[in-house]
Amino acid sequence: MRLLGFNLPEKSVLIHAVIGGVICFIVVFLISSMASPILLQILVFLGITGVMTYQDQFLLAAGLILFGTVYLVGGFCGGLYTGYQVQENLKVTLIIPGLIGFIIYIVITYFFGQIDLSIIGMIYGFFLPLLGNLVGAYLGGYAMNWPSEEEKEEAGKLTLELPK
Amino acid sequence: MSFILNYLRRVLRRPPVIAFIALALGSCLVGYTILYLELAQHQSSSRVGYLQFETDNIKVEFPKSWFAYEVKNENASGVFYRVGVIGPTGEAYLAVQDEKATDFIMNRFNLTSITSLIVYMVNDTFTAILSKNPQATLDFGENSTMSVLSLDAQYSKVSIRGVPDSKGALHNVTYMVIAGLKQGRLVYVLFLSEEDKWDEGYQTFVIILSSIDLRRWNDETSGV
Repeated sequence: MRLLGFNLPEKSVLIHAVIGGVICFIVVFLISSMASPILLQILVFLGITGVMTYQDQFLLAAGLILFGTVYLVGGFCGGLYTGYQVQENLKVTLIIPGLIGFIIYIVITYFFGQIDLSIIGMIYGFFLPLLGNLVGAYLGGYAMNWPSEEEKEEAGKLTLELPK
Repeated sequence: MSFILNYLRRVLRRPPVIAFIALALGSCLVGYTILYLELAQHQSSSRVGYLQFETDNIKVEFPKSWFAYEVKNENASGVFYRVGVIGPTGEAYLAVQDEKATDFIMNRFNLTSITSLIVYMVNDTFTAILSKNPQATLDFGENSTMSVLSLDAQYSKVSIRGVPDSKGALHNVTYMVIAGLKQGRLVYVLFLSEEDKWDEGYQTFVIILSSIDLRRWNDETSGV
């Protein structure tokens, strides 16, 4: 099926993409439950907990650190699984793991009452997790399907079979 | 072993993996740079190792290893303004109320003087601790007056033994309540620290207290 010039994924592909999304969420959930206390311990160790006083800037900095260590890694793991199972139409398929991981994460966050609707809160709680999961999923998916140097060489070679 | 190394070498050369590692490290680096710049920007000009917290209501300096926050509530009962400065050797809380909020507090708890307010606050804190540890004990120490934030305030220092923390471990805590009135506005400061950290914590508390500039407090026309 084609929609807006893209081929929509098949059912089996969708299932793998959804599993990728669940993997993405599980990884984000596991790492984020450790990342915040570790970040706090690092600040205590460096003796700079005072930086938490300036909340907006601190949230932005913490959001960026969590982007690299949590959301990007979660998306990457989900993307690796999806990319391993699916080899075609990656441009469309790889949106799904990142989105699903993000949606489950936001729903869980909402039920724990941790949603902040200020601008910095939206960047910290919505924009960076979404971007991290999506970019991570694409990088993971394409990393799995990127042709290696040997494969490129193989593809470049012409094989001639001469009749005996 | 060499097979694994060869495989990793092949995988790590793939552009998406390189981009992933670069993005992850880059975002951490940018995050740390923001933290570092923030620390540099708010460095105290008069004290080494101290940060400056400055808002419309207050200016206060505190050590880098402590952190501060402010809360302002305005409702039908008046204006309540609070600042907390928390660190490894103690916790300090400053509260200022406007005339209306001061009357509200004094009437609600049937308080007639600053002394009764201090006694009420100590008892209130101790009752909260007793509900968590019925074996906790309270010893009144010093009661005197001191000059703080350009007003003559009264203070009381007490020791509470057996204060449980979030993990259930018991601590001996020294607790100080300083309170005073200026033009019908109530200001009080609480400082608490573990007994063995009291000397170090109190020194820091005195520096923090001396650095406080309560802008709204000094401005006679404003609410707080």
